[in-house]
Amino acid sequence: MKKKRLIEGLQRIVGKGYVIHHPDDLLAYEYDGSVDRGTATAVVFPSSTVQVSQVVALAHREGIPVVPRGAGTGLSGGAIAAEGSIQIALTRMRSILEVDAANRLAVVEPGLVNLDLSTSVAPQGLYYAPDPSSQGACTIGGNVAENSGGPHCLRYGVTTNHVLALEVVLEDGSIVWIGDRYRGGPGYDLVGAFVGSEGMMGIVTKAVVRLLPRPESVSTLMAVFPEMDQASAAVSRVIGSGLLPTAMEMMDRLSIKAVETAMGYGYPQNAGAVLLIEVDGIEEEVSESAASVKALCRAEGASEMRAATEASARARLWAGRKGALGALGALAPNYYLVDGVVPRTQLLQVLRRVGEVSQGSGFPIANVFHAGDGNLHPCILFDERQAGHTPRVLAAGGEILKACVEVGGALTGEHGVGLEKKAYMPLLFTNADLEAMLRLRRAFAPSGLMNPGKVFPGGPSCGEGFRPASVVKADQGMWV
Amino acid sequence: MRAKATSTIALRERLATLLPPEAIAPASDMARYAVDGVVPQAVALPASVEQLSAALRLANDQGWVVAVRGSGALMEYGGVPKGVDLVLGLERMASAIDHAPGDLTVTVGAGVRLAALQEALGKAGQWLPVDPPLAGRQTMGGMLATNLSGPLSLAYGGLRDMVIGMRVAGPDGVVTKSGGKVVKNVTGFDVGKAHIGALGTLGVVLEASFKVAPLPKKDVTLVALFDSLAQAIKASHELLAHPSAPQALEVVLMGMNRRDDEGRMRQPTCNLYARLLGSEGAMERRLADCSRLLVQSRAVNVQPAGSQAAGQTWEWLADFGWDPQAGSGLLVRLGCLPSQVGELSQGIEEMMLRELHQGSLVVGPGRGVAKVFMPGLKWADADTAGTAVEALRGLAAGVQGYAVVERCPLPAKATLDVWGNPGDGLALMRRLKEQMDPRGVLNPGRYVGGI
Ligand SMILES: Cc1cc2nc3c(=O)[nH]c(=O)nc-3n(C[C@H](O)[C@H](O)[C@H](O)COP(=O)(O)OP(=O)(O)OC[C@H]3O[C@@H](n4cnc5c(N)ncnc54)[C@H](O)[C@@H]3O)c2cc1C
Repeated sequence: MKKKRLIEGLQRIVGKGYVIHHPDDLLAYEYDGSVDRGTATAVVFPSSTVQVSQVVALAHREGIPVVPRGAGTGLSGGAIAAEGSIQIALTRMRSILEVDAANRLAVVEPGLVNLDLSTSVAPQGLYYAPDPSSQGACTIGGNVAENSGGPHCLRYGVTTNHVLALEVVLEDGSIVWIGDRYRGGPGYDLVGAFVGSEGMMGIVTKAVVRLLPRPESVSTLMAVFPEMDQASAAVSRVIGSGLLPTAMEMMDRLSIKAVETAMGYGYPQNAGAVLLIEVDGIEEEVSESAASVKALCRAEGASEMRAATEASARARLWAGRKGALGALGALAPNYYLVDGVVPRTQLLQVLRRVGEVSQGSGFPIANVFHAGDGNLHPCILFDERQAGHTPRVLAAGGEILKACVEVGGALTGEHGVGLEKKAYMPLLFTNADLEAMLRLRRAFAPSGLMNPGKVFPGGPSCGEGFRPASVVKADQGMWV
Repeated sequence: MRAKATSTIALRERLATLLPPEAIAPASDMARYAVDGVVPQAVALPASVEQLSAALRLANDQGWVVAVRGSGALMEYGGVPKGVDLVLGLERMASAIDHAPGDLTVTVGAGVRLAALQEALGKAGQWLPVDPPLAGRQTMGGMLATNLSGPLSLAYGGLRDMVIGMRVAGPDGVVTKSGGKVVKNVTGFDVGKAHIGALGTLGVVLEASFKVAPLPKKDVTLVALFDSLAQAIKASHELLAHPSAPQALEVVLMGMNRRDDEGRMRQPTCNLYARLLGSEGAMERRLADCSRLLVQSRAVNVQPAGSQAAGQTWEWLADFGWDPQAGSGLLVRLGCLPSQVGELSQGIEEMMLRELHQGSLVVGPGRGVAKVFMPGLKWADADTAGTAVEALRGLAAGVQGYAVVERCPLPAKATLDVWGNPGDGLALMRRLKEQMDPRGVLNPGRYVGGI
């Protein structure tokens, strides 16, 4: 099909103003939050399931790949266009279709921004638990595709634990509902199999998600430690004690310094690590848990503790953690954010290894991460204008991932495999393992035209067309 | 798709070329391994993954129909198989429990009994917060394949929320893994989810890794007596909406249509059981909150249960309808949105009164589940069972819910679609089955839509 006819066909479906195809306009859609890029033939902005279905059916007839796209905040290149593909941006489909407070669920469109859901149901005393740090921008559809996590997933689980049912457009344009508004019905757990499929099994056009009641009481504690090792030990102590914090977040020396320099936050200059711990529940439970957490942190050598229960005071405690990524921007023009995960008892060992990688490669590495579930986010600082630095940074990232796998961890805790890590998949999975995953995909998307080239090794991958990862400003509500 | 079955002797001989004698059950044992009355031609009892893979590969090559078996506790679940050539029993498989207390994770072989796992976890003050039927007998593999969750799923979710990794043998004997041993992981597709509740139709689960939880410091049960089921369910919703909500809450309507010695119809009793699990400091207030709400919601009598009685009650509730002592009968699980459980269970109650069916009802208002068990051999009659199941399905449809027959005596069971309509996703489910088990050797006919 000639490009002109294709564009006309797309315009007939979504309307003339909702197809972008001029090369200059396409530039903005070459990227996501990751380091890769690619150019689509066109980007379309459907406004309904039927339009999505028609666009997908047209592409299928013509043998053209399609790439779903939410807000483009993905960090592994999942939404990067395959060559010659049609990118389907779901950002116009952002309505909350139904809130069922009695059954604590909502039916939403895929382009809805994560935080907007929690904000809208707040008056009913409810919220949507998975809270990726990008929640001010990322979409529910993107969250479903990546099975996104967030700081509070420590207690409440990640996206897959909160999705009940999905309306999905399959590669031939057919529209199908999978799952039910409740769990326990007959048949395979298709929703469970679909969540985390990185846009490669179908396009989510509606999602039924669980909502949780807002807790009666919340307490945030900040513990400052002279050394990172002590903070890591405190994490293990708290987890091992039987307490169930909702979040446990850590910042290392370099991040603290960056935050101090940028925001003058008042952390001790010589602090080795800061741990943020949150507990929630009914008041009696919260004060009991908070007291235990404090005692355990002190026992592990915390030099200073602050606590808050009132919302604005808690927000102040979180501010340093949330501003860390932005603050790191002041230390270097570029950063490469690595996402690895290890058993939490291995944190200490792996963080030491990260330190060695930093020394060996000569790049400073800051650690700001979800310590409670062992999800590391080493942030490698560099300047891409320096010749040869970029490939060395990627290699250092690879070293860290290998270290994670060596101690029984995995390649990604929440950002997905996408283009970024597909070449590393054989570190963790055999060909047979990957084949089983492909079978699952083929059940949903046999032709392979749905977001091709991601997750599985082979074909172009990360590093080709590496671009400087621009620092996301903290005032956009973005942090990691 | 199925190749012409080999003769029994040939089948056993072929197995004997691959497996040591102790891994093949004697011919005299076949009846013991029957699945819903369908007697297999041979039973393989592999003691290693290699042996298991070899047996599977042979079956797949020959097109023999394979039924996988754990302890056999829940073999009744699922449709009557169209035929069984080979039963693959996992009871001799290595039973390693690899517990990492500091990580709150455990990796455990499919042949391990849930009770053994709980005992090992308990030593470190942890548990897997599940209470499926017959927890004392069933194996991990059986538990994952049947995915029958109990009252605790109200607070802790289902197995799907606890499994973090899985190793599975495909019908060709090839072993694959997904996930891992970390609590947060998006490396690769979540194939493991497809196997949970798949009744062994997509592969043989060999091993699974789980997130576990600390054992709660306090475990208290309140019992409240109500005049009517409707009243008890209304009270349940009051409790569940409160910050002090219990971790498990079930309502029981016991002994419907039973006559006393003089032949008078007895009133069924209606009890609400609320189980509060959690920390020491909060328990006093939570108990007070729950008791007050129950009294306000017109409970006739509210009191805490002694810990031994409470333990027995929750076991009874979990085993409801499955307890071998209850004998055979018709056990149906119905489900819908929590807000409609009242309407659904009222419908079931009215139906039972109208039809004079004896039996009991256990309702999980927060879980959106109502289970009805009607004991007796009358349910072996196809018409009687069929009519009741149809009526229950009608009630479920009225609330956009489902009704799954968990148990039904033979021969009636063979005439029933035990699963009912799984909805819009059936075509995808068939495609998944074709991808994972292309020759259709794993448990054919026992799953939804005849899969
Ligand atoms: C500063 C920052 C902080 C972050 N913090 C976190 C964090 O704490 N936790 C976390 O998990 N992630 C985090 N992320 C990563 C990212 O925000 C998440 O992966 C998010 O879910 C992506 O959503 P999106 O709408 O931007 O999707 P996109 O980036 O547009 O797409 C991501 C993937 O989803 C697919 N997709 C999008 N919409 C659909 C749909 N409707 N149907 C099917 N497939 C679809 C795409 O094809 C692609 O594969 C962070 C990113 C940034 C930039």
